Amino acid sequence: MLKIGQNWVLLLLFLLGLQLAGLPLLGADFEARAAAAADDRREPIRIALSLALSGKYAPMGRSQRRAFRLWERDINFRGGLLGRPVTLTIEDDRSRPTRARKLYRRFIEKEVDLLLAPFASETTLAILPLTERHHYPLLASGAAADEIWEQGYGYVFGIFTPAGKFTFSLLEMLVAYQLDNLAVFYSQEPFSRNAARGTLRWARWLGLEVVRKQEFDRQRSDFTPLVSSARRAGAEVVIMAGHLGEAVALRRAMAEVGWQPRVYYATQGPGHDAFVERLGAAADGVFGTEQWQYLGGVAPSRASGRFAREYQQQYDKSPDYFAFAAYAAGDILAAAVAETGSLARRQLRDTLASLDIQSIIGRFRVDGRGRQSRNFSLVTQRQDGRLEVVWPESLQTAEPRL
Amino acid sequence: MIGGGGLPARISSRYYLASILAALLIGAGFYLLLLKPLDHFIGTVIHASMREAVADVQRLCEYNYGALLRAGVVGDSPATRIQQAVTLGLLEDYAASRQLRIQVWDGDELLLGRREPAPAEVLPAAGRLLATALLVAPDSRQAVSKIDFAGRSHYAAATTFSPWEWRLVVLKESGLYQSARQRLHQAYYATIALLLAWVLLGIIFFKRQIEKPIARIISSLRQGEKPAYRGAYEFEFLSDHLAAAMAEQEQLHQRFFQQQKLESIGLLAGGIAHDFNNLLAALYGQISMANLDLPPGHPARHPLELAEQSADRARSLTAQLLTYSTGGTLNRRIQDIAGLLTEIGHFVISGEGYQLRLHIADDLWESAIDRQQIGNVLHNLLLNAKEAMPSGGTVEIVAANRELPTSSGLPLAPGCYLRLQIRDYGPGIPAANLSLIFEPYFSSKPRGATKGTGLGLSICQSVITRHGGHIEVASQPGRGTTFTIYLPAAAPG
Repeated sequence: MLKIGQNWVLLLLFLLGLQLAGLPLLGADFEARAAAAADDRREPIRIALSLALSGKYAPMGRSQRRAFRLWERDINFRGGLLGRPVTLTIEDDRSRPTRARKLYRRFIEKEVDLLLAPFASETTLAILPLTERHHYPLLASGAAADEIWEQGYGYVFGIFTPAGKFTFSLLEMLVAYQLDNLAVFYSQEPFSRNAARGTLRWARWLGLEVVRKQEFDRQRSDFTPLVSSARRAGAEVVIMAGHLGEAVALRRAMAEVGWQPRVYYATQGPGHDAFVERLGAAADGVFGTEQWQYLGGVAPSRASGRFAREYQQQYDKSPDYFAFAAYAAGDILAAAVAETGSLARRQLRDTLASLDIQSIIGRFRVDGRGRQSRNFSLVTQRQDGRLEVVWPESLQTAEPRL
Repeated sequence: MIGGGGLPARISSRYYLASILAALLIGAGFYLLLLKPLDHFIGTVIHASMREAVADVQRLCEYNYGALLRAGVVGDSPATRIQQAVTLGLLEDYAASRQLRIQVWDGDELLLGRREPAPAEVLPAAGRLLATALLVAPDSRQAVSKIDFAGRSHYAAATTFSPWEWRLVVLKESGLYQSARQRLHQAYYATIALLLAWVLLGIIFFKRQIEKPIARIISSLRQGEKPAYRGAYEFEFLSDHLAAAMAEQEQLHQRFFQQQKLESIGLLAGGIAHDFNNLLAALYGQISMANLDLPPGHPARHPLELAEQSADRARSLTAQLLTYSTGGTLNRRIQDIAGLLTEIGHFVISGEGYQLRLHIADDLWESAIDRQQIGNVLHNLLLNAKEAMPSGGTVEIVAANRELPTSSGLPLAPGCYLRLQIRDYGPGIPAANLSLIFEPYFSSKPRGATKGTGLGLSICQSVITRHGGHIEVASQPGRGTTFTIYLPAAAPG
């Protein structure tokens, strides 16, 4: 008579028993976690990244490695993160995205606590699918291509002015000095492509005429045809959206052809010591971009001044903005971890998305996509061996020599 | 089949109707109270979001134009071009961060955004684009329109910025809202499906767990059989009680027929006994007169004495018959039954090998009885008990008070009764004889001078019934027999 009822009662009792049996397990799990957390306090926090220590981006990569090591020393001197020491693993990706992807896969397999981004946009783009899948928040300390923030990724945050806005200050200056005809050359890689795309768009909005634009192969070594085409098109301004080596090569091609535009601007290179080392006196007059840390050699904040001094003392070199960006990435990460109070990656991601701080390279505040939205860049020119800020007008240390 | 109040008569039909109505009510309630307001809320959010976006766009333009004015720049100048470019850049960033698409038109030239959709597609929806005022009125839902292009549905709103003669179109893919709305509709359909499943399962459950058991019980009742359902507790309970009620009814019927039969026999026997008694009176007179005429020692005197003795026995028999049929005249007085039981018990149950056990309640109620007749009944029953154990044994007399409820299972009105039990431990009465034991002239004893007339128990039953009581017998072969008498209490408590 009561068979069905009894079965139901037994089933309910069984389920209740399961619940009750689960409680001690949960408790045990909680205790295990607590114990693990207690152990964690003694374990160092492992942070890993790859950098271009060889290959075409090596000058910038090495510069960043020096800054990261300085940050590692400083953060441990200050007591580490969350009271735990920090160990920074830096591997050489040889400026190759595929190599970087392998390295980051290995970092993730080793379950490092945190990751930092490699140098160059193309390398960063290559590792993003991996880091996104494993929910590692990533501060892009060596990448500025807009493409990075157009893929719908949610864990990557920019530090630099996005590539699409890199040349805005320069174009603003051109409008002010009524230089209207531009030639734009750009390399076949994300950062350069994005910088060129931004340049073309801003030029149109500012009413400037682009008389010549050309994308070039990344393996290209002879730039004289490009220079000749710009000359023929009557360009007053030549903009090179590329990296150090390409900026140097185009300058040499100009010397070879014997033609000098009124403005030669390169997105990367002119601010770097290697640019001067390679070009010597020919580096003079070339326009470039610096981030906020460089106001004509005057440190905008005590923190950036201290970093510049210590870098100089430690390595006998002056830091470029890549070094500033690397050290700033470490500081921003430390601030986010401190605010989150843990290494929980999702929470850390949320903190970074809303963080608003002044780093040694400028203000850090990203938009809804993670793209840097508050930092801005300066236009510099090498004048008599010295890097002068020539635009914006309010921050000028020297008039541009046109 | 329609029952009272226009409802179907069958409980199953009523249940199905109620389930369907409940499902419809829940479905309608879910739609009207939850889905519809949510749908409306989503619509409101869409329009508010679009209005806010257009207002932001307008503010951005105003702020940057205002910066120019504050710097004393008016008209077309490099500073104006720069500020316009800055504004376009900000609009682009704003659109990207808000997942919007913004078109900025300067005349026919598209400054920002993709060409699609053509302004002509948006213009009618957006209204007067040449006005400088914000075209999207804060409380106007019509200001936001929905258009399709590039294979996708978009919400569109437009505004103008007359200082720079810009026309601005803000577009937002409806995908997010559409999917929210779709999910709402899916939730509704899922609810409908769940409700239908609920109704279906309810019907299946009702059919198996309620309708079937009821049908089985009804089917048994229709066939005049006792229901014997086994399953759900409630129906099992009902089935058992119905079966018990039917059994009781059967017993009552049997008793009623028995009563009728006995009454008929009694009437017949009474009539015969009355006439026979008259004849016996005449016979007695003739024998007496013959005896008067005969000298002492006459050889005919002996046969006459024998005839007189036979007539005596015949008169005794007719007296018994009259008592059975009419009960005689009851001379009822309130009596101490305990004393009567003790007295008769000790009188009858005596002799070697016999033992009497009396269990009489101290507070045994009194009863209004004809002491003579009830004494005869008890005497008769005790004698039967003794005779059931020819080689001796124990006879028990148990007397207690009983309050009978409405449904006691006895043919007695509810009230206070004395229950008297006379129990022997003899061979018992065969089951076949139990139903006949109170019938006149039924006797298991051999007939003769020392044998009973067969009227004893039937007379006992007659006497007890006439006292408003009841007598019954229970016996198990080999375990003895118990006669139980119920007599109405005179002054209970």
